[in-house]
Amino acid sequence: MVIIGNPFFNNNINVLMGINYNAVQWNKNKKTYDIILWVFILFIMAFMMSLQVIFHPTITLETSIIRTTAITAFLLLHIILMIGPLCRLDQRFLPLLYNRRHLGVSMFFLALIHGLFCIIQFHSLGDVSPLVSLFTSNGDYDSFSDFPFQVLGFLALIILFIMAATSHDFWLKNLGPHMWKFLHMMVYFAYILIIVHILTGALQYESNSIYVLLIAVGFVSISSLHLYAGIKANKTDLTIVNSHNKSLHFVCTVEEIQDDCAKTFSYNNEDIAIFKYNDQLSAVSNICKHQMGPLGEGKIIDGCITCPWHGYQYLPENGQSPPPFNEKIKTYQLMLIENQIWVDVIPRPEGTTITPVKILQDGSR
Amino acid sequence: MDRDKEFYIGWRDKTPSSSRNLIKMFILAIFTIGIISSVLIVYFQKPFNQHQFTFGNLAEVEGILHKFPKPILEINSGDANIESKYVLLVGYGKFGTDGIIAEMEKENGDLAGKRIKLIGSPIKGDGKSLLELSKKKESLLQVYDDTTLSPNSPSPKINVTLSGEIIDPKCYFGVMKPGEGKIHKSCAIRCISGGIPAVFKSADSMGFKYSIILGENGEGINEKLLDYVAEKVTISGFAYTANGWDVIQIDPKQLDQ
Ligand code: FES
Repeated sequence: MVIIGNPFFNNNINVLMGINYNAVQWNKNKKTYDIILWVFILFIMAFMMSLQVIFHPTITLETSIIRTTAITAFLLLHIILMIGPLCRLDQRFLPLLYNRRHLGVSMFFLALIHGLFCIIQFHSLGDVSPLVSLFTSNGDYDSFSDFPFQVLGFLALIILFIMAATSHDFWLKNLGPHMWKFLHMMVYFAYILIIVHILTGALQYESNSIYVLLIAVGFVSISSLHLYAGIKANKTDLTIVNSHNKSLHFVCTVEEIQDDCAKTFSYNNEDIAIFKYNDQLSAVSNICKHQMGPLGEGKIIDGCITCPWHGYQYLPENGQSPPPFNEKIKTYQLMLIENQIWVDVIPRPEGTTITPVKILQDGSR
Repeated sequence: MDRDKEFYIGWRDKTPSSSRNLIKMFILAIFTIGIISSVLIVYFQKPFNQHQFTFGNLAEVEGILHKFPKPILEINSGDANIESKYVLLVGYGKFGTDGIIAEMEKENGDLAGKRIKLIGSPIKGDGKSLLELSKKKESLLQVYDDTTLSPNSPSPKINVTLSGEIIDPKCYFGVMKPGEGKIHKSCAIRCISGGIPAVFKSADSMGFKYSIILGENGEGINEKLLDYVAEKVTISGFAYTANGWDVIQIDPKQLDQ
């Protein structure tokens, strides 16, 4: 393996790949990302506040802040939820995914301002404490139209808080990728809570059907994107066409894999990516150790399998991140019969070296 | 997945131009969607009322204190921020005046029918006036030594049925926009629970009618109304006017049916 210009000792990747942690590791891409993000947030909020003053001059500043932060955060949540499936459908969207956590944290801050202003306006300076009031002032838990909708918003805010607080890789490392992923999948639950929060709250007051329509458009866009990306991903998963023995499966022919790329294959719970590079083949787990990104959608760069999501790297022959990093993924034994690639679906322990299978000129071993 | 596309590594690369163009279009689309939805959302909002709470802008007002149906100051010297002669008094935050007036009376004796000077934050809207006793018991600036006046006699009682909503007048006539309906429901419950007079807002050919809700014997029944605040309800009872405010006396049990 030749590593040319691979910036392993570049601080960005050191932090990214868990060697040390800073609060936030900035690089140029992240800065551009955040600048565009905050220009968007401030523009939309200023625009909406000006519209409020034009159309409804008697609005109070508090109401304007409550509404503007809520709507902007909800809009951002839609973008956040769309980025995942968009990237699966077209890798050109990947730069949006790279810094999605800043999008999430920004959205949480807007939601927090909304929540704090509501708690102060509606629940403070009363005969019980604001949090008690939030849960008990409206007791119509058995009704839809009268439901204490603020409780739903509060629960969604707690979920968003947990996600924002654990968004740093420090937590990813400490919670483990499965727990972390589970926590961050709760965003879908938060999204549903927020929709019901709006339907049982603001929309019980605002009766114009345009609001239901807007929410429906958002919901349908997000669910259909997820559905479409899911269907497409399933199609690219190869089906088993033949078996030699219990664990050996035919995957595809050598020609079907492009150089420096992979073909992915699932069998039971094994998600496998088979990479072709330098006229040889190696098979590793398709799941990145960082945030479970799809390694098979990555590429071989500087001799390393590079994850498309945030650029974690692994050596194809042993599934280990090159020193000084210590991430390891499972590897799989391959066999080449003529030009047919067969894989043993029983994984080797993480980081096990398996000699790559050479592709000879005539396509066989 | 098109493998020929340039590959992007966030920590190392410049965004490839194919990505760059698509993402530019994506950002443009997001801005457009943001702008269009902002316009739709704001334009179709329900309009807000003109009511005002002159927060932080205290006014001194002088008048006669009536305790029925709820503490009301019948004023004789005006302030630009006071629209009506009969000013309903409310406490600071989400509280009524019961505790405040009791404390004032500890030092000054019974204030009912006395001419007094108060300082507070005026609240006004739809021809009604309220005063928040923002400085609590220090809101009482002076008690004049005039003889105590006997209360104004209320108008004759008539039997009525009204449809509308129970509101808290401090938020409704004051700073909350909106100060009624579902969005404001839990706040109104908090205010009415804290002793701010419960008011029934109904509509007739003249516009909106605001009636202070009391029990059958003229007692406060705020606690029994909490479950019905900010909902569309119909109530029946005796209506009359006392010290400038409409009053409706009801049996709260009817709400449970
Ligand atoms: S680098 Fe983040 S998921 Fe692979």
